Parts: sequence; C-alpha cells; structure tokens
Amino acid sequence: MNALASTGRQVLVAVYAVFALAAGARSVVQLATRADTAPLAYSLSLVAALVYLVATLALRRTGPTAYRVALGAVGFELVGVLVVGTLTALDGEFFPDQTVWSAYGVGYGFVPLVLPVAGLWWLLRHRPADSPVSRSSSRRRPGASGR
Amino acid sequence: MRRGPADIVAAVDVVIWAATGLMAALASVCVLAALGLPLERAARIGVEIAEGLLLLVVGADLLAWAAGDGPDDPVTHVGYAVAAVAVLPLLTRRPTVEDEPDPGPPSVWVLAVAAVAVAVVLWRLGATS
Repeated sequence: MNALASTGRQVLVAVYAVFALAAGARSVVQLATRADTAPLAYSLSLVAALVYLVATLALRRTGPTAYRVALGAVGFELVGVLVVGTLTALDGEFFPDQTVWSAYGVGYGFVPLVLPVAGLWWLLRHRPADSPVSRSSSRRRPGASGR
Repeated sequence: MRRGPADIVAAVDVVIWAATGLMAALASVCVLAALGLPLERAARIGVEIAEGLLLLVVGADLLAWAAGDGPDDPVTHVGYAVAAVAVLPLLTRRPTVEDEPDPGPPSVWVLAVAAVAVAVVLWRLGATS
C-alpha cells in the first residue's frame, strides 16, 4: 500500500495542518495587534504553530529524514504542552494571556495534548525500514523488519 | 416592506448558525462512513456541496458587514471568514508527489476532520459577528 495513502498518516497530517493554521493565524494576529499585552505567550503560540507546520510537512513525506524530523517535532510538541500545561496549572497567572498549550490545551479541547501522543504512537509503529531505530532493533532481533 | 441593516445582520447570523449545524451533521456522516456505514458517496458529495455553500455563507457575512455594524474585532473575523472557505479545499485536495503514485481521494476520516474544523470556524465566525 502507498505509505502516503495510509489513513493514519492522512488524519495526522490533516489535524496538524488545522492546528498549524489555527495557532499560526491566532499568534500572528495577536503579535501584530497587541504584542505588548503578553509577548511571551503570543511568541510561544507562534513557536507551537511552527512546530505544527514542521510536523505537517514532515508527516506528509516518507523516508528516514522526514521520519526523524517528524519525530523531533512531535516530541518537542509533547514536551512543550507538558511543560507549559504544568506551569499554567501550577500558576494561572504565569502567562498574562492563553497560549495554545496553556492548561494542556484546554482552549482547544485538549487536542494539543492528545495529538503528540497519537503522533508519537503512530510514528513509532510506522518506522521507515532503514531508520537508525529500525536498524538497531534489527541487530538486536535478527529477522525483525522494523514494522 | 423594506428590510433594515439589523434585519440583514440577524438573518445572516441565522445562516451562519445553520451552516455550523450542517457542517456538524456532515462531520457525523463522514464519521459514520469511516466506521463502515454505506455513506461514503454521500459524505464526498456533501463536502463538495459544502465548499460552494461556504462561499455563499461568507459572501452573505460580508454583505451583512457592509450593510450594518462591523464586528468588534474585524481582523479576527476576517481570519475566520478566510479559514471557513479555505480549510475544506486545503485538507481535501492532496497534491501528487513527484515520482510517487497518485494518492487517490482522501480518507473519509480526513473529510470528518475537515468538517469538524469548519464547523468550529463557523461557530467562531458567528460568535465574532
């Protein structure tokens, strides 16, 4: 089956694209119209948007390089949502305004928290055959395909 | 009887909320099709019809804006208007990748994601009117 046509990849790309668009448009408008209110929060939303964009583009492609980029972007996203979510849960006044990752993405129905977990799960189940992770797995388990 | 700007704005609000409901219904049809019910053809046709309807809804919204009071936050409102017409084509048309076979039509799960996203955008469009 064509790897680009797999349903899981398609759905991940679609959701990441929606979030890249939503977070990007929101942060650009906020930074352009009221950057002084909460520059750190709005900049963080812009970073989140860029991470979503990188993940979207990397997930669209097959091959070991795209795989590593996607893994890095989705991993960064998971760390980001956990760190920012925890900081905002501990201190509600930590950021003067909401970011995409505030309170673990409550403003977006917790999708920002679920998405990187789903993305990592999918990526780890669909390693390209010649990725370093697959090669090391194959060395440990002769005959393993890495799939 | 001549309609005033307030009537036009109120009518367009109803149109936006109705469109939000229709997109939510379309998302449900897409999910049911993805789960195996024989609704895939209806889902795909529904998405194509929705693309045209969304242009009309956003056009009506701009008309109401021209006829009456503008939204409190015009930049955000325009952003939602653009997203309302752009999300479906962006998510449901996949460019072919060089040296790779035609990926074919998108999964109905993708149509469901797109329909949910548009429903949320329309809801925000109505809320920012």
